Amino acid sequence: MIAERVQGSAISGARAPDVLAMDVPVGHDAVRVALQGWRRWIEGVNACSDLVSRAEIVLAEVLNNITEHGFAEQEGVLLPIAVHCRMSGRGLHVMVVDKGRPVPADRCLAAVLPPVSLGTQDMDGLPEGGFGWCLIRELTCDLSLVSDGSGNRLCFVVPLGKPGSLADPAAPATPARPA
Amino acid sequence: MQLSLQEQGNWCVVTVEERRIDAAGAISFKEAMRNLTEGLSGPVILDLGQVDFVDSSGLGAIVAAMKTLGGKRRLHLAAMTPNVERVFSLTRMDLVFPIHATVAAALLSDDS
Repeated sequence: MIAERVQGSAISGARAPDVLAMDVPVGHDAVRVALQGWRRWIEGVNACSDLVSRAEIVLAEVLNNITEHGFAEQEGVLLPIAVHCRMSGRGLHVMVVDKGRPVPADRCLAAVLPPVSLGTQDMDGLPEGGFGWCLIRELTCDLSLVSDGSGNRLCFVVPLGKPGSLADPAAPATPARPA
Repeated sequence: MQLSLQEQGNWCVVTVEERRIDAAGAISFKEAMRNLTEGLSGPVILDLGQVDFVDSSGLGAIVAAMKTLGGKRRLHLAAMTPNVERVFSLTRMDLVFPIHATVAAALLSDDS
């Protein structure tokens, strides 16, 4: 079950609530259910379908990462992951807080794609994982991850337009103006 | 994970009858692929036309399915929806698989 709390906009009288706070239970099935609830919310806030698609990929990666690596338990009960989303003129602002093991922030934020040896028949060498953080980085801007003894707080924006290209990890989050 | 199989000439066409291949379904996808394709020969076309969401676990499962087929049988991908195509191109896995706009186009392709 998802405990879903939809709060009103900070501006009273706004047409639609542009803020969503939800607690996501740990587990792949629970993440899938939570994403369905999230979709119902974001489809009601006038987000374009391309942004919704990009954001769903990012949220799935983030929540499944926590499910696989960073979940926290208290007295035998898995603690839920807190997700806070807000739409603005820039895009979807997301904060994800979990109380699990601290994740190596530097390594996650600097993740590069696993190497692919093209043009060879060496299929056994193809990667089956290691894509998650690269997808997150590629589809977001303003990505920050703070880990301390009490858990992890990941913040990012899924922009209205497409963020920088994968080919250049140092590319600016917004497209550069033509010279 | 609901998959269906059709044999067309030399090809096996596997249709994914689900909207998602995600972390919750990745293992079941791999098992279903193995069960359907083992004992048969020839290249496989994976029809992804009904799939609108693949995450990194689903992507990994598709790569694993290709490895399971072995070096001599290729896994072709067909009818990818835009959001699924995006995950393949962002991870460069679009360079690894033969990709076709439709199953019909895949059937006409040269499996080499």
